[in-house]
Amino acid sequence: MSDYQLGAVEAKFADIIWDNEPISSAELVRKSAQVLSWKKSTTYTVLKRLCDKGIFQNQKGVVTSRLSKQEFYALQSENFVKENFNGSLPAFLAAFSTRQNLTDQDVALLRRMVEEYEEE
Amino acid sequence: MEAVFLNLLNMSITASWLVLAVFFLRFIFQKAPKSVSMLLWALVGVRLVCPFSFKSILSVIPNPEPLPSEILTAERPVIQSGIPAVNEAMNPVLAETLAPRAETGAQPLQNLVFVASVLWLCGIAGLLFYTAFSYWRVHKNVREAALYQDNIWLCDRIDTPFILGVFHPRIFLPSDIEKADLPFVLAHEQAHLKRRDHFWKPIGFLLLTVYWFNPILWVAYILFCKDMELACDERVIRTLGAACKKPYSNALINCSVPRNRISACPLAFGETGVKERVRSVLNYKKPAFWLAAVAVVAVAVAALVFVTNPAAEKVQTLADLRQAKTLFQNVETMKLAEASGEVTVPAAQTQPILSELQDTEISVDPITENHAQAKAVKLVLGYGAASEKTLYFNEVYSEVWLEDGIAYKVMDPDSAKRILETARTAAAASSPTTTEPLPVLGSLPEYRPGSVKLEPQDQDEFSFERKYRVAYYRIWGYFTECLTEEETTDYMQWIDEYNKSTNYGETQEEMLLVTYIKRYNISRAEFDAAVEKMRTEMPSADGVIYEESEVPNGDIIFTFDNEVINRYYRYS
Repeated sequence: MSDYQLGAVEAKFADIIWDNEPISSAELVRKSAQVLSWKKSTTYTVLKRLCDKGIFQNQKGVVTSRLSKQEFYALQSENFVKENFNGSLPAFLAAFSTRQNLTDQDVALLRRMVEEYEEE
Repeated sequence: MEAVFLNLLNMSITASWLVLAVFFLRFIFQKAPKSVSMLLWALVGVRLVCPFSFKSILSVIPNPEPLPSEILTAERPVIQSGIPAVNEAMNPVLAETLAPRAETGAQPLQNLVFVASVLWLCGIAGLLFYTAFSYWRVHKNVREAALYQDNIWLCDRIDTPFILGVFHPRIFLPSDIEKADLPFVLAHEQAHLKRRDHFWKPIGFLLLTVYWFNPILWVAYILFCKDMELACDERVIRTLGAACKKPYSNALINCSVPRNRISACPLAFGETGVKERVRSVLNYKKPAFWLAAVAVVAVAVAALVFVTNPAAEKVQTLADLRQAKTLFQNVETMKLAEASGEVTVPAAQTQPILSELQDTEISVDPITENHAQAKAVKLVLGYGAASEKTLYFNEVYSEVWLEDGIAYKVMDPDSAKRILETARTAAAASSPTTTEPLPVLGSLPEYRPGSVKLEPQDQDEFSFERKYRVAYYRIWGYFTECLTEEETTDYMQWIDEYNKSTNYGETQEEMLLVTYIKRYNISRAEFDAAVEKMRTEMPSADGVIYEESEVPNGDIIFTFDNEVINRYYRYS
């Protein structure tokens, strides 16, 4: 539980519940669609996941929290393991830049290159 | 299936020429705008998609169909690569190892192509499966994305910004993206959208799926993706101005830093190193007009030269063929054989005719079997010591074969016809006394030089010039009985004079019997009759020596054993 970190989007969803609990699942779906543009199935999927993690609970269509917002964030351990992003991007999608095998020196070198650049 | 595969193989080979040129041009025009590179890749795309093209004399494609479709059914498969060295290296090997064999019913080439086709389809299936699977995985991840604005979504489960969707593209950003980077990332992705990269990149990958067997095209795709990214970077800098170079580069670095040191993935397929991109962004200068103009011209030239197909057939001369090296050298005798019979070209004309023949222009690519016609004219070149090679022409002199049976197109059949006409007339001129060849007995066994055992001869005191194959036989009355009285007198007189003048045995051009036959036009029937008579009346032909030499008129060759005249062979 303490190893689970909410992504920014998930956090927004969690906020909807924390800010509006107790909230009916139908109402939650409506609000999620409004704020996040989520489909009904998406809302239920994420809700189930967070319930399995023990943060919320869905009893007879009413969603309440098991951990308050403060409690949850307090429990976050310092050395959380960031969720592993599954796999690299497929070759046929247009992207910005992808995660690369850069050492700390590489990164430092790059940042310096940018800093020291002077436009003529 | 095999036919489609062959067609694609051809298109892939043709496109590869263009791709190699594009590699070269990209290198030369590194400083030119990257949109020029994208134009070049567009040309490659065109070449890979269109089976046909315009014809132009400027085309440098050797042959757009190096593997003719007939290769699957030919008894004698050939390739038409348009490059003499490749043809000559591969066609004999093909004929030897991959031609169908009638005896065993084996069809090695067809089997090979079938197996290759199946493998090709499996490859496509594999790649399509990868495509579908990875698309599904990405799609699953972005289901939980939240709308930010317009068509821009934020997603927890991704670690790099990208565009998904071809017809209704959506931009997905990692939800923890730095606010400072946002405008630049978006500018880049919008540039992708404006250039329709979300459409072209998958199209390129689809082409790669079909042509997966060609490694050159994999390199091409990697470079295509690289150029695409650099082109977008350029577009952003151009739009937002030089002031954005630093923050843009920072955004690039931020998005490239591995999230989790342990699980950072190596540069995946088709990705450009961030170092190169940062450098490229920082060093970007608006390209000089002249450079861009030259680059565009280069693209136009590349299109003309690589995307069009050749209008004319590639030509070479007979002398260029590898076999021709030995064919045209040390030729001692030349004979012309046709349906009407066989004639020998006199020595004086042999060399000039040979040199004209060597310069005959032929196609670089052989003719495929079902276009080749029948052989009608044979030119037999003798090299002494019973070795010889044959050159064949068809009836109208539009096709030529060398010994190995691979046919080439004769570019100027009339010129070839003329050369052989010259040979024919020269041959006819050298034997004026025989207006028609002596009749030939139809079903005679063929004479093979060396097949008759020769008796040693006492020739120490003579030096015979063995120019002709003939039996040396002392003229007996049996043969003179073929002549009238007048002719007999004439003959005796001629013998006397001939002996005196030639010092018989030292430098005779012909044996007496042959001269005799030709001079008096002894018909075959008469000759046979005389021989028969001699056979019955003279069981032991004393004084008969036989040796192998050649009769000018190849229709008759006589061999005799020491006892009796027994057989005639048709010399061919």
